[in-house]
Amino acid sequence: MEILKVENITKIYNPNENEVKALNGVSFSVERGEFVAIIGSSGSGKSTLLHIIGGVDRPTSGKVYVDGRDVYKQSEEELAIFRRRQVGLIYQFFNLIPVLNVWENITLPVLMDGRKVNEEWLNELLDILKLQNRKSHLPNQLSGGQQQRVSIGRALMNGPAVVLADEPTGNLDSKNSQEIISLLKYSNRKYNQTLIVITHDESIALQADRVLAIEDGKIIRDERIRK
Amino acid sequence: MNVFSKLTIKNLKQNKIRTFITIIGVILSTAMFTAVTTILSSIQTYLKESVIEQEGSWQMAYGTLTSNEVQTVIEKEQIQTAATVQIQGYAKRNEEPFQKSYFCFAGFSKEAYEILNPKLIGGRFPQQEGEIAIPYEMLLYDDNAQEYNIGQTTSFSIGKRIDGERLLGQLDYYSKTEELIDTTKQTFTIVGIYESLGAETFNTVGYTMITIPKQNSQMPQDLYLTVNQPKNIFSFAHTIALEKEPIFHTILLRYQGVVDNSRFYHVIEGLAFLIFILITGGSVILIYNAFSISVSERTKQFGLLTSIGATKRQLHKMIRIEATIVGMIGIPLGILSGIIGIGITLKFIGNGLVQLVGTSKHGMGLSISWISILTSVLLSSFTIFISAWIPAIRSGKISPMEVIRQTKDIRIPKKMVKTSKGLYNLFGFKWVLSLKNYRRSKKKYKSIIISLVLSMVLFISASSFVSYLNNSSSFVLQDAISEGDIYFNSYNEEISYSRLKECLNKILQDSIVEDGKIIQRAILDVDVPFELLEDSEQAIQEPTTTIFLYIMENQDFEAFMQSQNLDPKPYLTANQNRGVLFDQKKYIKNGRYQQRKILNSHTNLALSFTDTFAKQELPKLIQFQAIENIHTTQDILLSDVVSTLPLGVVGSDSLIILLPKVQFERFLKPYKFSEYSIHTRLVFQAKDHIKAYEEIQRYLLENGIINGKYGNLYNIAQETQGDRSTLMAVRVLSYGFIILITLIAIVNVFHTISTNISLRKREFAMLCSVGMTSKDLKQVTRYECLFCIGRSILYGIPLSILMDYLIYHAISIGVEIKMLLPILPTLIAIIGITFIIFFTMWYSVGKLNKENTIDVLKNENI
Repeated sequence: MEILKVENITKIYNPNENEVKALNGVSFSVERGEFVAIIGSSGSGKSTLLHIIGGVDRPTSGKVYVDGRDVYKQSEEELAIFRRRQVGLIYQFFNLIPVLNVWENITLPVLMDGRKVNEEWLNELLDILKLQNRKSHLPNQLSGGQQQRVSIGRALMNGPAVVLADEPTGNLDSKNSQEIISLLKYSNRKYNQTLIVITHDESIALQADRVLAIEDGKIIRDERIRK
Repeated sequence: MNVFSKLTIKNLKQNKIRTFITIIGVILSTAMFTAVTTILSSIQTYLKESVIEQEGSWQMAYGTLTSNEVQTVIEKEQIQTAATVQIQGYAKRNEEPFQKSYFCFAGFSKEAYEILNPKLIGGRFPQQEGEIAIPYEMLLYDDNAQEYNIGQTTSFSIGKRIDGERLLGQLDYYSKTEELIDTTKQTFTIVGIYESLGAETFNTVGYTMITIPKQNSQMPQDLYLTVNQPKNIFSFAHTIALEKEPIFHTILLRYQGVVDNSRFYHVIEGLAFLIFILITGGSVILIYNAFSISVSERTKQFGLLTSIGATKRQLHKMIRIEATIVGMIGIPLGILSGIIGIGITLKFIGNGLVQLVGTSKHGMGLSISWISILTSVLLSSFTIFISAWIPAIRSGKISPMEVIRQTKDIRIPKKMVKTSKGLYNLFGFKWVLSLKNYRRSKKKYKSIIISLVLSMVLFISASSFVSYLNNSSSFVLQDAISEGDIYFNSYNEEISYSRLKECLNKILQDSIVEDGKIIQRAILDVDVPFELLEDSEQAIQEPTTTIFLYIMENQDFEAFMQSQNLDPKPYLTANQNRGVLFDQKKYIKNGRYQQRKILNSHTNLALSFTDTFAKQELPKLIQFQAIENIHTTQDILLSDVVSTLPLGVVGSDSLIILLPKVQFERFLKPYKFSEYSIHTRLVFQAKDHIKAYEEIQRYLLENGIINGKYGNLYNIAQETQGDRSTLMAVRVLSYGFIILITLIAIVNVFHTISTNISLRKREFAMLCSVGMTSKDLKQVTRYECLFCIGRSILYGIPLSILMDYLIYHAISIGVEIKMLLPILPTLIAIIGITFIIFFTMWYSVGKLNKENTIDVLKNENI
């Protein structure tokens, strides 16, 4: 079943002066439960594509459908709720809120929704993330790997349709990197979540179901590695 | 508590200094709002109270009602107090129709004394039939005033004033066709004199002679009322079914806020409005800065929250929560400190303010009105929310990714930071770098510059305002001009010297007055030869010189001479006429009293009357060669010179000659000296000069010497004190205001600079990582400071001079003054600004240096 459809996306920075075409007519679709790796050199447009899918940056033209819904046809309010419930974003530099502890950072999307935290699900997540003993720690009391696990927890908390990770291991050593990828893969399998990861690391790309290569804002290769 | 409140509180706690400074800012501006509204409400209460004191507390009144009509009115539940004045009848006073042509005999009920508040000056109020108290004003303007003194018994033909069928009362004006009928002769004893009724206007036809009301009488009554709700007084008046129209106490109602459209109120409102604009401006800039900084510091956090699904509304809510917390702490503290501040200020300068606003016997106290506090709360809350709202909306306009990357801060138009190679070669890299930084942060620096210019202009204008006031002579601090506290200057020959002397002795015996003297003064125009004058240019303009001749009691003169270590004997016994010279001219220069001499020589001087008596010429001041030349009986030998003056003699810009009474009697009196106006003066010393003044006034009155008619009683001590405290009031108010505005500006500047620096943390870390030393870094920031100071001065000085000119222009309409360039305040302002900026930079950069470069670089990455 198709969960994500990207249709002819173009993104132009600085229209008029010093125009930069970050994305140039990108189209592809992703099935539910698929693990997609996006690779490409610096400045190729990978991150822009991910942000447009995640609803945090608007395309200049083109359409994005998540679960059949036209993402950018929504109002600002609906878009915010979309980001909260349908997408989980993971960044290279974790982007945790320094004044909130682990528990609060992870449950932030639920709390923002004004809903009650599902303790059972949270405990399961904390177990998976091995953060059970660090619930009340502040981000600056955690190692890089732990911080990234917190941000994964935050991304998974709402059980989103699509998890988007922008070089999630870019700032971590190899041991921690493998641990994070295993975690992402585990949730991808267990909860049949769609996972899109941007990476420079070939070994990570090879673990995906499908690899998209981007160059100069265009998809130059779309390779299915395994079914 | 939801996650947003929690996050806000945590953010506030983490940025302790910023939170603290924001709260301080809110406290300052709320305190200023409160101070202004409280001072206005204090002025209003003061005005209300002084009207009540002078004119009574009645709000509306009906004239000549029957007892039944009175009953129907006072039964109404809206009435708070009611007082009746029984109009017992009128007696003709004179034939001039509009000028108090009657005496009105009015029976005052107990309530009438309270509500109309007549104040006794002498004697007592009537207690039985046949006794009256008369108004003081009548004594001043009545030619037969001597007939109406306390204890005297007088007969009046008392009847009814009617106009056709209509019976007229005190509230009915004079009618051309009115007549006085049914007169009967009645005799009254005057038992008291009271200060005229405020309710009795210039147009009232009769002086009110207060007596006691007659029992069981059907006489018409005037009815004075106060109501429970003054605001509804006019609609209430409509509900009363009487033919008569009521009259209203408009001045009181105006101060009670029922009627407006007074000119005075417009001035007060205008002034208050101006101050409000300034305060609001300062506060809005301050609080706005605080919030916009808080928001921009957290743009990354906002972006992050947006990216994981926070809606705009939720982000706005966070800012609102922050504003609420800051307001809940700052506003109550601000109100409290504003009230305490004004309370203390009024305690010290309340009397001075009274003189600015009007005159009254009682001073101005602190009056806290709930409306004024509510106004301050609303204004402060409004300011805080507006200040929080704008940055929140602005932050919402940027897309989350842009916010996270903070691209807006990175993207800089090339033009903005372009500098020429010449500059580079001329000043070096650090200078150019700071110039580029300055240009890039122009917007941020703009708010600093606005704050600085605002406080600079305010400081300089307030300083020039005060110095203009100092220079206009009307506000010059009165030197203690004399040791006397209270003077009575008699200018009427009907009151003889001996009568005044008798009064003085009685006052000294019976009252709280500690010391008192009687002294006479004659003013002479005298020919003084040019060569004797110190300032001969002045002499050409004024051909004659004025000399004050003071004639003292013999024993007073003797005591004075002994206190000066001079021998009084020759003055009291010798055949030669002798006087003591005092030659110190006082004048005002540069806001201070200066002294100089009028004559250039003090030896062998005499005041010669020889030609005056012989040829009707002016007396002459002569310098003689030998004592034999002096005409002993017609010249006054000025044999001693003193530098201090006895009690009762006031220094001035003229020569003063002191004589004992014996000289005057023997020599000048036979020559009809009275052609030269002679004034007799009583001078008193008393610790409690206000009470002493009342006692003296009462005493003089009871002895038939009417203040205002035969002479004037002055409370010099109070006037001096009043002038002092008026100037003090102006100073305290303007400087207090300036200090607050300056504090706001300092907080503002501190806020802006420190945040600007901490926002550039990463940039500085980067510079350090490529080898810039912290010394270099400080130099770069120092250059930035200089650009900032330069700009502020560039705008501040011309604006200040403009304000200075406007103040000069406003004051010069009333007083002749020279325009002063505010050089000293400008210097102080520049030094102050430099200090504030450098201190803040030093503080913020110092804080920055403590952090580890690599940590900063790492943490700030995304």
